Amino acid sequence: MSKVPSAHPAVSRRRVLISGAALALLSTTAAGCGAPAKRPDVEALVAQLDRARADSQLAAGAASAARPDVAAALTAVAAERSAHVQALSDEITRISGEAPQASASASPTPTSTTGEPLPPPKPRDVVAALKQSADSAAQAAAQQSGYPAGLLGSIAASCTAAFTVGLGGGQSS
Amino acid sequence: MTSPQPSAQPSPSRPPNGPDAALFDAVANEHGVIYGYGLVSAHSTPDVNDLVSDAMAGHRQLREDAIARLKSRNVPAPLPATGYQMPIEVDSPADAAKLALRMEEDSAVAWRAVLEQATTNEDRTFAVTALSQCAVTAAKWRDVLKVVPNTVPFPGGTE
Repeated sequence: MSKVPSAHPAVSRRRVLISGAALALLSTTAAGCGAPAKRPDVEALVAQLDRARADSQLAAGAASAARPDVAAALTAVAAERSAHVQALSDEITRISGEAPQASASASPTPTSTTGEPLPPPKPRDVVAALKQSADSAAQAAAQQSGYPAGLLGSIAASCTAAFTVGLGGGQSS
Repeated sequence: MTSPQPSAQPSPSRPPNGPDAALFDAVANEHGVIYGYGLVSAHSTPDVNDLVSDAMAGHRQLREDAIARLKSRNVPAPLPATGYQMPIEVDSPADAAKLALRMEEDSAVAWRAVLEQATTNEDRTFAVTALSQCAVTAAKWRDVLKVVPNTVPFPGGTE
């Protein structure tokens, strides 16, 4: 009870970098004469990053049209999903050696970029999106191992808490 | 973290490392949490009765499931200690809620460790469910404590 070891802190950042570099080297050597294969673990993280970014924008959009108490909860969701974008982007960079494209630094635009004045999303739309994201992150976590599994698990847990408690299951839509 | 006080019965020793050790630690943590919820229950007001009993039932279930998993691998599970030192003194309903929140956050850390150490998809699925359960209950305790926002981006993590 006194201590709960996590796989992550035990491994120094440098060691992760070194082993990542070694792995990258190994995979390039192994793939030697073939076309550079996309690593499935990186692809899974990129898919989660895309979801996080989309959810963050959706929540921010819904916040702009919601009443103040609901807006605060939606803004918190937007911030949490943005934090997920950052953490996933960091991890993708660490294991693949390059930052994910569609730059994670691009700030989310809360308004629709299509030019069409769509009605703002409702809190229940955000709840539905978070439900899907929680399931998706949980499945991805089960298929990864080590730190990425832990990160995706925390993201799944965060999404679940956000739609069940943070947004109260969408009753306030 | 709750810390165990010496028990008359020697508890099985902790596996040295890997998935079994993380699961062993999670069971040991759940023993302390279930003990701690007794204290939370004693000091809580009736309006949180449902939350206390649901949380306690949830942790009991996690403990039993985790013990069954250890058993199936022939790893002896830790025994509950005679008593536990709580991380904070509990003398009011507010203290009780704070202890409950602390225990949920600590449990999330324990389950994330299980998740990171696990070597099968099945164990990872179980760990994510446990981690999510702790995150949801933690959010409910933050509501009781009027902590805003009531959710955090990385339950069980340090990102």
